[in-house]
Amino acid sequence: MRCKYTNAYELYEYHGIMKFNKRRDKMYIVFGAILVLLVFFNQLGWLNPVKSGLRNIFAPIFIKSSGISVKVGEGYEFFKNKDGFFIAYNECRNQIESSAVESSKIYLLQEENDNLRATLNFKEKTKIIPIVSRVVGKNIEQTDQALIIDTGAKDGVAKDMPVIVGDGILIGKIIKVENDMSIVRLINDSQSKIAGAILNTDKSLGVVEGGYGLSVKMNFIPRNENIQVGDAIVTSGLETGITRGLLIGTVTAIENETYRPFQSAVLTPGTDLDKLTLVSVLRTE
Amino acid sequence: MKAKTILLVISRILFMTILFIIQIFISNLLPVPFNKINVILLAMMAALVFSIAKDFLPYLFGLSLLTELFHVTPFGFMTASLLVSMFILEWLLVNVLTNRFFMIVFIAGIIGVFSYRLFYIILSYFWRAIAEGSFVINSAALLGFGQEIIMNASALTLIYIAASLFLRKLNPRYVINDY
Repeated sequence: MRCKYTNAYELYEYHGIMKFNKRRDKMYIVFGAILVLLVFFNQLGWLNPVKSGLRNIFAPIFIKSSGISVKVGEGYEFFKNKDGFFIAYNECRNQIESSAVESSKIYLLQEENDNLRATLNFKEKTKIIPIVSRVVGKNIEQTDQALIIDTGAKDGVAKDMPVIVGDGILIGKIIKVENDMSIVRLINDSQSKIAGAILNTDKSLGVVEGGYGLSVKMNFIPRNENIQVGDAIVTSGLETGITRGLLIGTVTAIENETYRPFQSAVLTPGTDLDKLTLVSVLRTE
Repeated sequence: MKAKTILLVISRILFMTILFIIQIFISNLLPVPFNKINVILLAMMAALVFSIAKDFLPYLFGLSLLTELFHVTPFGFMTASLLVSMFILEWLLVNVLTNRFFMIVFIAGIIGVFSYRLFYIILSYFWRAIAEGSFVINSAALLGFGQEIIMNASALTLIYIAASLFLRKLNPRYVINDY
């Protein structure tokens, strides 16, 4: 019989490594088994008190770092381009003045609409309740564009509910719900897909998808439909749980290639998705 | 002896808590691509490179479970990926990449992050395919993974170089041994 080791050292080294491997394998098996047990207990809900306790301990640190992040971002923008900052500021002031005129017109139309609805005895089929939530922070790994908010199942939050900021700017959808917190997938995440409609003459429909850096794209728009830069894109209401008319963003560029069956529109989200502190989850009843 | 052990355990738990806080600040504060640095993964790879993984594995396991509480994916995905990548990397460091030249450490870092992310993607793919009906990996996501691999492998190499330059000089045990 031929020996497979050429010398004693090799024999020792081989068995030494094998011994080490066995010990190491055992350690990984033990931790793997503990993990399987913990996942099982988590499914049963037995870990909820521990999870809540730990979240309550670390949530203030998340909130603090998120707050610093927003402040640092604003300060950085100011120092990076001071002239641009002042131009944007003046544009904002002009927009506020013109929107004040528009909002007074909208107010009158709203009043008229309410009166007409009352006259026709029109009843709302669905009632929308906003659940105001504080942004705790971003997802701990930067692989997904997601936010952690401080409301969960106990506040009535459920999966796939739309999340807005301000009067109705859509920022994303709920993807994970725990008892005391939820996770929002932002519209610029690569896994995000939302049914959208362009407020143009054709009322073009399409799918708003993320995964293009800071911008978002609306795909599957028929090529013969007319889109203009500056057109607003809102939710189409074709998706279950997401009401019609939530602003997603405005068109900044149009991609219409002759070899493609559909055209797409690049849009800028209605709000800065990096500076969110307070959001609302829309619960429909 | 017992008091020393208790103190050691407390100090390691404190160290892991600090690592977790650093991770929170990195993900919330640093700009792209620096926010791709994964402190937990980095700590795991550093423990393997410095051959102290056996002592730190329980703490890293706990730290990874803590991170799961603030993560998009279902509970257990990150820790499972971490254990698998640790297993692969440790085997490679013991049997193949036995040299500790800094380029070898860099390669080990690339393999560690790649295996972690690969297993994470596989788990996410099956979960999202079942729960959500679709899973998309586009060029932006791939670029992000590439950035993560480069950033973490570079950070590991820098830690290794810094440690090999200063740790021996600062550790009084070596001074005593010289005399």
